[in-house]
Amino acid sequence: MNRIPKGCRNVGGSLAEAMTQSREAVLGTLTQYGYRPLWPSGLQLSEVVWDRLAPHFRNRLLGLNSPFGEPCVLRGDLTLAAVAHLATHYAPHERPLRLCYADRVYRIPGPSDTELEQFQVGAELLGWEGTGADIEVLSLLLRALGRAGITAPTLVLGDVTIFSVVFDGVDPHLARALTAALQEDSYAAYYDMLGHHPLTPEKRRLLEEFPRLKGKPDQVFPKAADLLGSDRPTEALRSIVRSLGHLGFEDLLQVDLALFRELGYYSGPVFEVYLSNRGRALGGGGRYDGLLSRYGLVGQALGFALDLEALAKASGIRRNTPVPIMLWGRECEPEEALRLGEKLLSRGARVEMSWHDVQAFSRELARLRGYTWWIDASRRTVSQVGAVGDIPLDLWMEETFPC
Amino acid sequence: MLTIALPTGRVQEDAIVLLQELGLPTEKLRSPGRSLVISEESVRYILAKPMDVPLYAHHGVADLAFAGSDVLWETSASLVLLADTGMGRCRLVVAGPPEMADRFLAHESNIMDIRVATKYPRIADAHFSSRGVQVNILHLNGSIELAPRLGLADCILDIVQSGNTLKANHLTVLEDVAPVSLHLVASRKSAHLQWDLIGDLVKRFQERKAGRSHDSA
Repeated sequence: MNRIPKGCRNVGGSLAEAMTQSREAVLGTLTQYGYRPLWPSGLQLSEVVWDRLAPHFRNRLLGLNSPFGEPCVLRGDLTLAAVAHLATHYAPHERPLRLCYADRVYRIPGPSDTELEQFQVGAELLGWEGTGADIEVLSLLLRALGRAGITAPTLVLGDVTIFSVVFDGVDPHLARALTAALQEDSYAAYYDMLGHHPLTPEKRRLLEEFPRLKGKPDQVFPKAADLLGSDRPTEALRSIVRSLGHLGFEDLLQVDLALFRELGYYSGPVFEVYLSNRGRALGGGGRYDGLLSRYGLVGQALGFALDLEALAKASGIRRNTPVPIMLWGRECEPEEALRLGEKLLSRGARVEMSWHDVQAFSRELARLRGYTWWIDASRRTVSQVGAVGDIPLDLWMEETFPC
Repeated sequence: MLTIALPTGRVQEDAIVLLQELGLPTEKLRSPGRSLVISEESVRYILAKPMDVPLYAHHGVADLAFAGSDVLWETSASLVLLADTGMGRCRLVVAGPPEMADRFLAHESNIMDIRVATKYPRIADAHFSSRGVQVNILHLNGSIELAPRLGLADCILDIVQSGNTLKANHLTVLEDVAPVSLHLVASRKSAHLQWDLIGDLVKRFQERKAGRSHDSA
């Protein structure tokens, strides 16, 4: 029996193929724009991550001791590893640093979940102090999703700095409690607390209406300006929305001024990606300048991470797999068969070589593996797996790959 | 279209009354027959076991759900808690034979290693852990009150409304754990993307609640 730990999985078959292709779609987009791949260590020292994560998140880390007796955790978050890499490997004049990654993260699942390990793909832009970083990362996120076959995601944008404006002048204890209620997604607790505290009518109206500011940007921003008495608190967010709109992403954008993300280290614009057929976010990210400063670094930092498995399931990749072929090359020279394989690959096919001595075994394997076509490289004939008869390879190629 | 998950059983009627007060269609919902998915105008209702209701919203199958705070605590689903309806009020308590009362009033060491039967193993674990007490939790799916009577457990952790079932089984409340009421929750995705529909409902709900507290004052 090959049992693996509860909460872990071996991913194979078409899902593994789709995950590989989705990863290549995202990383391919990012590397084209100068993001360099990072493969961080699977183990992180507890002392390095502990103070840098919110308590509710670090309680989900899996702790263990290394064979050298050092207290460690299994990597629960890739952003921390990227920031640590920047802090220890790059001098200030080498910044900004653009990193991308695709790897596993490990977290103790919540009671309603079962998965101990997740596959993440993402990017970080670290150490840039000018403008442009927000738009670069967000537009690359949307382009990468498009390349992975996700054509209509919804990008929900928020900005945690707006909270300081909203809670300005509110008793600090109440402000902390209200912030915590929003962070825990408990509007019930938020409104219950508001109902029990004396506030001026203007402040009460602001605090009551502020969490309801969700929807299309053109509807939310005017209401926010009216409530906050100024456009200034939402300026950063409006600028992002404006730029993304100019890049053609306007229809994909929503704003939620009460948006929080669970990691607890964000300090500016934050965002989450949703798909129409999935209840939970596909991923998200945001600005985390504060986390950078905890590593003694100055500057902006922004990143995103996506659930690679969810991305692969939602992408069209599984439905658009290339023509699957098994190519039998036993009765000709191997190099001749491999050259034919390369020719088929160049036309967009997916080819598995077969070197079985007995032709019938090769055909049976093609059937078992779900291939559509079986090709005899020596006779240059093609047959449909499971069907009788064959046709000349050249004729089949003209019909199958007309271009 | 909004999809709303509703719990079958004790609080189903409360939820239907509330939906009606909020102006949502409930005619078909009042006589669903054996249907578990009911569509009325622009709303689709899903009828599910109370303990399963939060999961429908957690996984985004339902946009909204009505669930007891006991069930929300036990499942710890990642949801947006929109409002406490105040309906379906009851209490989560630890109950047991009267002779257990002295042990609960005395030092914690007197209840170490007791056997607690419950439908809520996570809540029981959290409750007794917060007291610094280790107990043996016995997860049962129903008729919890039988457990102490038949010697299966020393006490139970369960919801109690009138207390009649406890009395009938010769049990008494040993300590309160938490108040319980019916809550309106939303999936995180729907709270972000369908706020135009959900926000209106929440506002109507808060106005209704404010009206009630004004009336009672």
